[in-house]
Amino acid sequence: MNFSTFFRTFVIGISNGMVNYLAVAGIALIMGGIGLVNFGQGAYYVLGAYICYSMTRMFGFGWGLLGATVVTGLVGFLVEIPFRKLFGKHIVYMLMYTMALAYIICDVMVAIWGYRLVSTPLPQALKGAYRILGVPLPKYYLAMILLAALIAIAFFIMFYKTKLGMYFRAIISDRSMVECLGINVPLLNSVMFAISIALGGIAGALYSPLSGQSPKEGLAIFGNLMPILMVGGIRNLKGALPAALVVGLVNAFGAIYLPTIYGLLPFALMVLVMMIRPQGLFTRADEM
Amino acid sequence: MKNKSLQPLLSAVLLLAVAIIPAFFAANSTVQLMTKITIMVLFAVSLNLQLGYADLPALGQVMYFGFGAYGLTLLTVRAGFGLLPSFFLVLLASMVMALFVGFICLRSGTLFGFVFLNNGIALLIYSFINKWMWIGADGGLLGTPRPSFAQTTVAFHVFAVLVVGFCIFLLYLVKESPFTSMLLGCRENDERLLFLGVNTRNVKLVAHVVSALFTVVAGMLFAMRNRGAYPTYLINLLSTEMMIACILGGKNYFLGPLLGAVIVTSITTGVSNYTIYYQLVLGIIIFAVVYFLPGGLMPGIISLRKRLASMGQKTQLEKGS
Repeated sequence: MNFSTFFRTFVIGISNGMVNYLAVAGIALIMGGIGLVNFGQGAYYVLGAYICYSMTRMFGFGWGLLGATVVTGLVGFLVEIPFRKLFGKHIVYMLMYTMALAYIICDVMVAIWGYRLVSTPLPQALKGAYRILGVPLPKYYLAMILLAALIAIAFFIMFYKTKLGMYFRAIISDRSMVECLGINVPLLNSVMFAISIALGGIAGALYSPLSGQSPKEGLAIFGNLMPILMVGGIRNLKGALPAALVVGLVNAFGAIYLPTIYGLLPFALMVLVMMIRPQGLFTRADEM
Repeated sequence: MKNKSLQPLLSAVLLLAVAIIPAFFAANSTVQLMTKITIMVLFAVSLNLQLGYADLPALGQVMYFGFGAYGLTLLTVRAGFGLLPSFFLVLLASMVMALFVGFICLRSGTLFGFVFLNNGIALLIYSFINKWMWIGADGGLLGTPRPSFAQTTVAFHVFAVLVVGFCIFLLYLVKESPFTSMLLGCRENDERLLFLGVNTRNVKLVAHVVSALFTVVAGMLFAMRNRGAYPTYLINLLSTEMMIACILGGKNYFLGPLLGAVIVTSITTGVSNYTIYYQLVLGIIIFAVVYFLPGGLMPGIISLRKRLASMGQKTQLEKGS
């Protein structure tokens, strides 16, 4: 493998990792705040991709991204309301709830867009390639890294610097205390859901120009996200970023070196990590 | 007292009769559906050993189902073993696999860790089987033999019902054993049992292995029914369906998953004949169950029977007076 292939694979791996990080950050946020694993995140990912496709064809790519974020965020806001009744019940019910939602959303998408694979047309400005260090790199991959990084930074600023983020962190560390202080926790939960699911939606929208997605993939996509969650450590919002990059790189290099078993590598990595460090690679043991 | 000990036997005979007798009068396609339901009943009841008694939502239970199907087909078709030896070989192999998988999954110590890893390993095996050309990749492996005396649809149905009945009897014995009370203890108060010197992780591991063994049997039967093993057996949707079956029937009752599996399998099979929006229907069913029947159907049935019984007693009293 020469330098040019290596560099290109590296960039592809990083861009995939960044996009998947957004979706995983969404899962980790709800996981910490509400104690719910959103098994249906993949459905919102695909929903984001489809909305981006439709809106891009009507208004352009920028509006497509924005529309995907806003619509999935709204869906997330609404989805939390029926969930309130299940809060604090056994994990099986919450699991079933998220899965049922994913099933329903996937089939509604089939009804609207059909089974065909769609991929968002790229705007002219993002076609073509830049040369960096003499290696031609597709512009869109670089744009994807940049956009995902910007969103991730915005998310971090929101989480660590604003008042909303402070409420979220307070809910994660002690929920009942926040309730006692007279803060509207259910509303904040809805907002948390909206942000988390919008992150999933924008990840799907960002990825949609690269590969076509079919509505039935909604649940399979969670399979791509799960290794990241496990490698980074559940409940660990910070660990998700390095984990996403590691899994993205493993995926990208696996596709070149071991094309036959390419899809297996993230799972293999996950099982390996769980055997060595059950709490996740990027979590210290005392944080559990 | 005597009456009470007879009751399980009576219901077992009744269930076997309900499962077997209509097969002789029904059309072939109906009998095949009945066989599928029977096999799924075993899947659900064995899954419930983990879900209901040990509180382990094993979302990746399909891996054992697929393991049984593929193991049996490989041993009989590729290696040329007889049906009976391969049956036991697969059981043995699956025990080793379940010990390994269960050990890894339970190691993280948290419920989420268990669910994720279990699901992840199932996905790993699914994508592995889907890609590996030697075992047919996504085309599957064809030609699982049936026992020589169960070649026709009806004969195979009777065979399946008898095997499933025997397995459920064994599971009933497990349920009645002191082991289950330990399991219930783990479910209710893990820490207390740890104080008492019980290694709760091992108890859960044993539950996982026992549950896996019976799921493997279900998988083998399903491969025989379809005369082949296909990667679709390993799709997570199936274990989700079975978990819904357990909850719909009532996961805290032994016969709950049986009832649930009958309902869920008939609905999902029936619905997919009419519409492509089969997941939508499934989703709505899950919603209805989670919101309106979190305890399942079984408590309702039991209270109904009690009411009927008390009504019967009343009429007897009235007659007596």
